[in-house]
Amino acid sequence: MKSLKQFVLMATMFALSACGPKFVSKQEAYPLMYEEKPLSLVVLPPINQSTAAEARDYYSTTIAEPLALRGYYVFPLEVVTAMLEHEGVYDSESILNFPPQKLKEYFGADAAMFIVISKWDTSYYVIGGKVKVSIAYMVKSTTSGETIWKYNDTLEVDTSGENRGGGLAGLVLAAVETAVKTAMTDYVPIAQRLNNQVLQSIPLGKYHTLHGQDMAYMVVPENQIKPEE
Amino acid sequence: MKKFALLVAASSLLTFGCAPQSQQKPMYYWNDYSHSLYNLKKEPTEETTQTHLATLNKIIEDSNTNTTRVPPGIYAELGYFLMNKGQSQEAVKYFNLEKETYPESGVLMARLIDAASSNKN
Repeated sequence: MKSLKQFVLMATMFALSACGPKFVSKQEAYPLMYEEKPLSLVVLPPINQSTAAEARDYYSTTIAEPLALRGYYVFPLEVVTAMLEHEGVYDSESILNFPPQKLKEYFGADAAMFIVISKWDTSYYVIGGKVKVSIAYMVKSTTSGETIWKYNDTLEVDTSGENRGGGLAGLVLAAVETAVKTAMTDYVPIAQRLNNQVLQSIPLGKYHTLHGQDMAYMVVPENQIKPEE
Repeated sequence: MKKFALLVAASSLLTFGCAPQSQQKPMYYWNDYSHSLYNLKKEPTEETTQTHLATLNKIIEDSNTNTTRVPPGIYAELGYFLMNKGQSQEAVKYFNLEKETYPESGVLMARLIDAASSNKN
């Protein structure tokens, strides 16, 4: 009986590990994070490469909360953005080229998070619509300047209206409904979901009760740590 | 196929995510922060500004009532608003609170306290 149970357990584990992508531990994926143990993070103004001009402003309202919940001290984004703008740092190029070491001197930050929004858009098809948000996240040490954490991901939400059925009129109605619904779909909740999904993989910071105990969590998809082609 | 893999990844991440969150008390009270800041950015008016300021105050109040730490950056953001409205003394009070709660904010807070103090003159 006992061996049967064991067999079933092992078979299940095998089946589970065999499907889907491979995961690696946080320690294996981000060893430098555990070495440096950054406590404070400054989030730089997001770089917007999407077609939506407002994406940067809107997205920036969503990131402080989930990062703080992962145990980090997050410098006040509104204040940081205003101060950097004052220094002439506001366009994508000046943000990407800003030396991380300077952020230590200027804000006292241990690490800096760079965010690139590559998609924040809506697409329509015959009777449906989709809202898509793609973001790349990167944390750089303000001591070494090296990238110590990175992740990029996409979230797509279907906004199709319910099927009305009933011939051409129904179809037209459904299409109109979808267009309205898609246009009104708020990107912010989608960005929030994406943040939460992505930040599962960040090593937990000092203010989290599990700080320093999460190295073995097998939550980082292997493809996230492959070197960029 | 790739989509399926992504779905599996996402759902397993979600499952993992549940474990550390099952504490009795929330770590922070963020109240309506993201929402009121979003409204302020979307339509910067006196009304949306006041609503966001009220949210910041409510976060501080809720955190104090529940004896949890005020979330990072909240005191500083409130102080910054007040500084820009010319209320330098009040602003310095909040910058100091941020520094007391989070000593790692010291470098930035010192900068802000300097700025607020020179505003006064």
